[in-house]
Amino acid sequence: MFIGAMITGALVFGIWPEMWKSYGIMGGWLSAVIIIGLCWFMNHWLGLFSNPDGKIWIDQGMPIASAGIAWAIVRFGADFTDCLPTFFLLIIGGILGGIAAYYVKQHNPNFKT
Amino acid sequence: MTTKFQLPNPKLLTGIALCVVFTLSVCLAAPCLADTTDPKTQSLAFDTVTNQLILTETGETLITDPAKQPSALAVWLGTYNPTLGMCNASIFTTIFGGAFVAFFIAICWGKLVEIYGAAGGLFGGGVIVGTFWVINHKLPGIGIAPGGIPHDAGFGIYQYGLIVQAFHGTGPWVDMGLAVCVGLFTMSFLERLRAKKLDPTLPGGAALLSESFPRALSVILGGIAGGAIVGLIGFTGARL
Repeated sequence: MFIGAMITGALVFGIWPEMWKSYGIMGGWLSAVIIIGLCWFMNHWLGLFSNPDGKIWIDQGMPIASAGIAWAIVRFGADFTDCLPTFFLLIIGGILGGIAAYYVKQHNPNFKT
Repeated sequence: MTTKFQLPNPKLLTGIALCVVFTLSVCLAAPCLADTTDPKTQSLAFDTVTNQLILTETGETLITDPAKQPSALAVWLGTYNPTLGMCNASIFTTIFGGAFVAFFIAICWGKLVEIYGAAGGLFGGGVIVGTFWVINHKLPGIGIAPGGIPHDAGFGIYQYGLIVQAFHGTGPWVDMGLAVCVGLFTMSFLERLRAKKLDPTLPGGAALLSESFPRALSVILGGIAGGAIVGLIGFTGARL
């Protein structure tokens, strides 16, 4: 899990910023296809991330988030405390989205197994 | 032949009422979400006599155009804007930018993989994440001004995505991946709790959380290591 997370974090912040700077919105969109798609294949399809049945899902978004913070601190000397507002607001947003998705999956017949 | 009038399902009515209340509150709150404070400036006040936004330390008037004066309510709501490093509208868009992407991925990606297998997952990576990157993270001056357009406040850059980086983007980058992983974590946790209700032999909430902790920690540490390694490029003198 550690190696998969490390490569994912490195790929996202090594490639993505340069792609959007060079090719604009299309570069950023294309980065998602290249990086997120390939990393998903490695981490979740081939199973580098251990997600046993019946357990809580650990997503590759987690290393991407921690890599973004570490990358900016090391590269630009950013102050860690400055990211906390966005950090906590996104956690609130993620919880809201997760709860909404849970209720939709419980009640929508397309998700009945 | 007459048809008896029937009230819709109470659950449906409640749902519709909630949707109406939410939509109206967003529309009505809009005037109170204006950028009334300059992040990192801790001494703003609204002078109700002159109806102007002023800096209390120097007495300097920040907004002189009467048409652009924020309401007293907007200023009151913005009490913690300097601490959070963003205005009310940005707080709102950041929360919902995260909620949108977390919900969409939680709902769609799994189904794409279920239907199309690995191809569906690869497709989801590009189409879902790429599209949400555009709405959440696109930056000003993309392809034109790679460094971003400097903010009038004197530091940071203008941001146009839903997810706003605090203090005009001068802090460390917080990616929408955080909202996605928290959303999937929450959803799978709630699903397991529901399964536990149906089958008491399954592990409970505390057991699930303690089991997931080492896995979460290892990927967080992996991400920090990967991000830090890439960040070292900054020490090579590269000016990308």
